[in-house]
Amino acid sequence: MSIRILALLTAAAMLTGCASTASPVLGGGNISYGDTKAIELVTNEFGSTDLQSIAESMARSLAQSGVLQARPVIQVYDVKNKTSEYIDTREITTSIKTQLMKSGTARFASDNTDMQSQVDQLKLQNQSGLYKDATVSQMGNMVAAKYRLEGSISSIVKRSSDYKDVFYKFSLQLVDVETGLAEWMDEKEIRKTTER
Amino acid sequence: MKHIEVGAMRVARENGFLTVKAALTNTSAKNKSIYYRFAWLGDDGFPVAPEESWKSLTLYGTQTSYLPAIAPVPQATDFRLEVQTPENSVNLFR
Repeated sequence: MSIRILALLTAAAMLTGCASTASPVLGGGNISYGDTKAIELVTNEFGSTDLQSIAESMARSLAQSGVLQARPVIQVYDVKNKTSEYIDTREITTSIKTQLMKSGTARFASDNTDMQSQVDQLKLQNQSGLYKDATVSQMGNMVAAKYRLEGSISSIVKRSSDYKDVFYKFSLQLVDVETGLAEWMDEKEIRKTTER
Repeated sequence: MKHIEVGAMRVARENGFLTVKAALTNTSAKNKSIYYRFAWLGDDGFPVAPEESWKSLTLYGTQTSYLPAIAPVPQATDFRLEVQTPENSVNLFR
């Protein structure tokens, strides 16, 4: 009898799994991974939440506007930083570009940062004589942009003994290269206030 | 979630993208801070896009505000609205 009970207990222990297993973590202490989508309120300066909300609202507004018919080619220009802070505006345009690309509404021409690598590679393939002819990308087939996308970010900062208030305004416009007409435009406003 | 009521939601497909407007009402007389985000689902009921970043909104006393949202991809056919307040939280399903 007692053997049977022991066997049952052992089986139960095996079924439920015993004790706790170690987490696959090395080190630890005060370090942890956080939620990248959380609202960041560490300081009043331009932060991850601002970057995310600007990119999200701009990309969606443009994708849904109906201006981008038949996946046109867009050339992205840097966003002008007219604030008093250092902001990596390239990251804003990269996020907007990524989201538009994922929405399937636009294609993107080589912009000023990757144009040099593109030209270098084309020249290397065509002028070095190193490559098999059939595999060489031909010169003169790069696709020119139908639209250019450019924007700016500016800020108004006010301080009193009790408050620090920052107001950001991000504007973005899509301009038809041939006609020079702005075909779409939108802006995003953000207010952040610190009470001292 | 005390004092925050979710009202009517309007859903439409505009230029191929699902667009949503959702009414949120602050039933108290005090200003309330809320956090929200949308999740976009496809025909199979699973997300078609990565999680959105949380957004913050202030509702003044007794104010009704309409949250606007546009789906990130044309594949989205349904959505969920997730709302939290600094005091308490609840998930709302449509």
